[in-house]
Amino acid sequence: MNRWSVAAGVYAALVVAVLAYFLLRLPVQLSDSYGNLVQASQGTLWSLLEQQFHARAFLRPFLWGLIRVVFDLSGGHYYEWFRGWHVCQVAVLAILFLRLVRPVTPAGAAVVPLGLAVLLGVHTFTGTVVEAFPINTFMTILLCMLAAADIAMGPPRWWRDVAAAAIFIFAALTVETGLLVPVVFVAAFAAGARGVSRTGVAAQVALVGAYFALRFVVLRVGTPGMDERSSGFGFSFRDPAELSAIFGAHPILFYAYNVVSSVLSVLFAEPRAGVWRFASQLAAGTPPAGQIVNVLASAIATGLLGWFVWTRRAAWRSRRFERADQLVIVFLAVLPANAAIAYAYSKDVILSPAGALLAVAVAAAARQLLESVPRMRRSAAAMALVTLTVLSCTWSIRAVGLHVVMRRAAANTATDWAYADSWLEGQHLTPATPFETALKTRLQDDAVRRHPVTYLRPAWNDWFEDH
Amino acid sequence: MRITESRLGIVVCAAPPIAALLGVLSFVVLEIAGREPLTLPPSHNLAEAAVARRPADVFRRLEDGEDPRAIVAVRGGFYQEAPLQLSALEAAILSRSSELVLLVERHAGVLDAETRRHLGCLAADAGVPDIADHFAAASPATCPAERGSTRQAVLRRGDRP
Repeated sequence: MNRWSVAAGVYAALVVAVLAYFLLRLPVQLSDSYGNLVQASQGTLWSLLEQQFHARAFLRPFLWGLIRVVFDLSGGHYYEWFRGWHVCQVAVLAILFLRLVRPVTPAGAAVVPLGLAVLLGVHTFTGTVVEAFPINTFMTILLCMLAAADIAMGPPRWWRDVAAAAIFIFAALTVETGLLVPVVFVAAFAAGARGVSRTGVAAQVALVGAYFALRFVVLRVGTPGMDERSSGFGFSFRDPAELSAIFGAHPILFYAYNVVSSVLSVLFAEPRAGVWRFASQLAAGTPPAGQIVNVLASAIATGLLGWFVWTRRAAWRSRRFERADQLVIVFLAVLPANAAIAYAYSKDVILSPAGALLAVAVAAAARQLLESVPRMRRSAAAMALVTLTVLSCTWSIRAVGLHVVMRRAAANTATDWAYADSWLEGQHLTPATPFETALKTRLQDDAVRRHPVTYLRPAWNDWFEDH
Repeated sequence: MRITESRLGIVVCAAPPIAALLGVLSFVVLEIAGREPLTLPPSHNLAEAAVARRPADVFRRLEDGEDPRAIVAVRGGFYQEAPLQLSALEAAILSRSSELVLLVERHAGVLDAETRRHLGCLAADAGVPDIADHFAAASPATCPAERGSTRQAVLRRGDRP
């Protein structure tokens, strides 16, 4: 640790503190949390886990187990515990980001603000902080992914193999995107990282096989079908009936569309959740400024990664990998795998693992560019500096946008709680026991009384409408 | 020159995100200090909350026992530049949120026929047909022939001495 890493750490702590402030102004959701809390509170922890091992379409016992554990620990202080848990997750995420980027030089420290701006500003991250169920499962997976990369890129130790297996089991049984964890270990190993041994990587592959055997042969959980959720296609969202009408006989085409859309979404911020919004607005002649910033920021970041791969191609061919190479290669491996997991329907937050690793990869590539500038010809150096300036400015705007979106989400959630009675009735979730009534009253009170929202001036919401 | 370019690179890379963070941090500090230049002013009563379409605020005030029928002062900037005198029921109708009107009405007790007629006419003038129908269903509305006159009368209420 030196003064550069300390400076980067202080900066990251400030970023987390500000984000925590906005997180702590977000009430626990009604739509995604109340029903989950009621369900998670039934029976014992073990009966809940057993029940989830025999669920249909989804295999997420640890998601429910974690909700139950925090619920029990809260002692009725749901807001404090669940929001506090979210803040802790963000803090751990920032620590893992710093561990991966290792800012020990001036250039290394300089890319930390940029990398954190990408981490917070990328559209795939938004869903990990504005929602919670009441624990944000996707954030849990982000932590697993970055922890996996950190373990894989450390010095070889026997315990790293054990930790790798434990992370996979926890992640895979939390939500399906947890299946991306082995991709990190395999890609890092292929790029020369030896934190996890060959045996440990083989164990990951074996565990993936065991997961599929457990899911499809032993428990017969299955997968969600095309008829369960709306999804974007072309220039609009389509409900399940429309999707069936379009792709009924050939769902593979819809799945392929989702996979390709997801890759493009991470790289270019377009399409979003399968919908080509920017292209549509561009065709109409007037894309909003926010959309232009999003697409420009992502396109330049992708261009930077392209430059990095091009300049490192000779080293990669001769299998001489440095840490920055490993970070970029892990991202490049996770991106298509993450997109493949999103085959059934497109949603920004499903791509959050690729989005988080994009931030790490951009930080690594930007450092490489910064360190290359003194060796460049004058014109190339000028172009590099202009590129970095635009990259940094556009991602900074996107990072600010996240905070605006969080405040807007807080207002929307508080509004949901104002209408809770009619909504619960419509969902056939009207509190039926004294416990359920007390839970609803407590969460509603938290949302509208104990933590009242403030409303941003409309111009801010308009500017970041397309965040 | 090369060293200068290197330093410039560090600055252009780090300065924008740092400036953005300081901007958001300033917002946080100001908000904690009670000065909120980027946010809308908080409501002072139920009618202000309703006309500005802030359901959480409305719900809290209703639960605290504020009277949805009471006509109170609404400051300029909440609905129009000029101040108004409105009841929360009228304010909810002017906000054109049917859901909000029903929320306020649930706390207003039984409304007499004249009040329902007035609210139905106001809803028709404000362009909230489902709410106009809702109030007219209980007592057939006989609104003034001149369209918009109920709304104008409500908005002019604040002008009276």
